[in-house]
Amino acid sequence: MSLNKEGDRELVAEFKNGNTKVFDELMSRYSVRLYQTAYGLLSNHHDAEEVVQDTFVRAFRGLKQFRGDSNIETWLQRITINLARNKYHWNRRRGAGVNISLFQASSGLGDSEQEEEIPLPDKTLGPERTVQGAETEKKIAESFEELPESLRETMILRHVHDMPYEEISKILKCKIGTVKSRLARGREMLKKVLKRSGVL
Amino acid sequence: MKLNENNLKQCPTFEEISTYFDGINEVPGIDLHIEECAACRKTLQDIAELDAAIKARANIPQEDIPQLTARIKDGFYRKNELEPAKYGMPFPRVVLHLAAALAICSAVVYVAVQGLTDDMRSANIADPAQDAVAASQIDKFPYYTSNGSGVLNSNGSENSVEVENLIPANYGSSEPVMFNGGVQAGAQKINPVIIRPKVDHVWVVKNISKADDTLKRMIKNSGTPLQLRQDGSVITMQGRLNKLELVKLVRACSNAGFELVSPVAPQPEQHYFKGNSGEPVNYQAQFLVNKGSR
Ligand SMILES: [Zn+2]
Repeated sequence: MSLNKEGDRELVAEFKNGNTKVFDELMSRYSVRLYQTAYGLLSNHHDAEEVVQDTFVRAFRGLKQFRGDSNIETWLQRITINLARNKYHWNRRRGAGVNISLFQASSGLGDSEQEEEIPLPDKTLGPERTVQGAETEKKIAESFEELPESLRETMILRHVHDMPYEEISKILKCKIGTVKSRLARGREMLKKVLKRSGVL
Repeated sequence: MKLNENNLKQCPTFEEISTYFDGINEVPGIDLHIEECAACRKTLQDIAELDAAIKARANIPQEDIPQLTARIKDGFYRKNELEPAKYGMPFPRVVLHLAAALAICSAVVYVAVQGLTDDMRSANIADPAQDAVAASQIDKFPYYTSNGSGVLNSNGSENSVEVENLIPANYGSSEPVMFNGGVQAGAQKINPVIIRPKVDHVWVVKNISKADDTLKRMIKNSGTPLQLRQDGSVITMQGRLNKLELVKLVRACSNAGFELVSPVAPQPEQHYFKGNSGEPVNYQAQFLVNKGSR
């Protein structure tokens, strides 16, 4: 599902040749798609941005070792999902609403200067929202909470990105049959929850 | 439900309908069945609604995308500087062989500057690794640096300080200085450069006493409370000034012919910055003569 696989390969090759500035272009290509994954899993805009930033930090450091046998998006999505998973559990342990970059958390580098920058424009991203839209979104987010992690991840990759089963199986490192059954289970559960709350 | 010979004898499972929804037709006759079975049609319809709802939730309005991308990139560049050397770092990278270097303190230490021709200005790189060549790391040593685009090789000397991918300074920028804190929200500038609250620079000068004169004059003209101290062949400049003053100072030093070898923002050619011009910065700079010879 890469936007431009050939172009990606060239970028990666250039990066490996030492032209690290091409990484900026990779970020331009994938920020939004990775953000959608992270937001889908975490239901929090700030957390989602953090996760995507951390994804790129990791990717930057690992890209030289990246072998071209999977496409770059598969690899990036896998990092995002792993980080989102960690973030999710981290948040749960610490109680909701705590936003800490995993990168800082794991490296123990809580730079006090961090907080001074990035005056985030307080503009909430997301669908055009009406009151009703926001209500529906909230219910979907809550329903997702009730799904087991593996189902949630599979659902996001399929519904948000329309990824083929095969790519999902590569990202989540599971069999194609597992993708199929997870989707069925996830959809069935979500359907029930949403029916109960009147969304469907 | 009506049955004909092409139809399934019984309703497909939810999983089969779910897979069918994804465009994979594994059960012969499932399409015909669904067409004629209200219950299965409803199931398919539910999945479609679910799909639409999840997609709507993930949708990002087109007009929000530039800002979102810019914030993600900003965060990346900010975080990427945190642990420079550990992972074999990105942009400017410093490989210090300090243990040996310290042992012979006043001996010559080489700084090999690589990748100087690598023009990073053209990319939207707002804030490459800030910690490379912090003044504190090399101020004790006379060192070699590039003069222009040349690359000095330490010849594998273990007493070396290696600096990779240094950002080349582009002297004589005439772009006006801007801070995004003062720019209207509509302005479509992206990737303002971050100036940290504490900035460390190393400048290479040709003649230390001339540089001293120049710097004194500069400080006097700017009216900024900067202190100068000269220890042998190193001048240290220190003080607190605001971001705009710092940008101007950096440009003035560059115009005076000093060569900035630290990649820390602000660089002479940068002109669009994050935050407000009045925000304070603790500045420290070292001015040294390149004593090396090739
Ligand atoms: Zn049926």
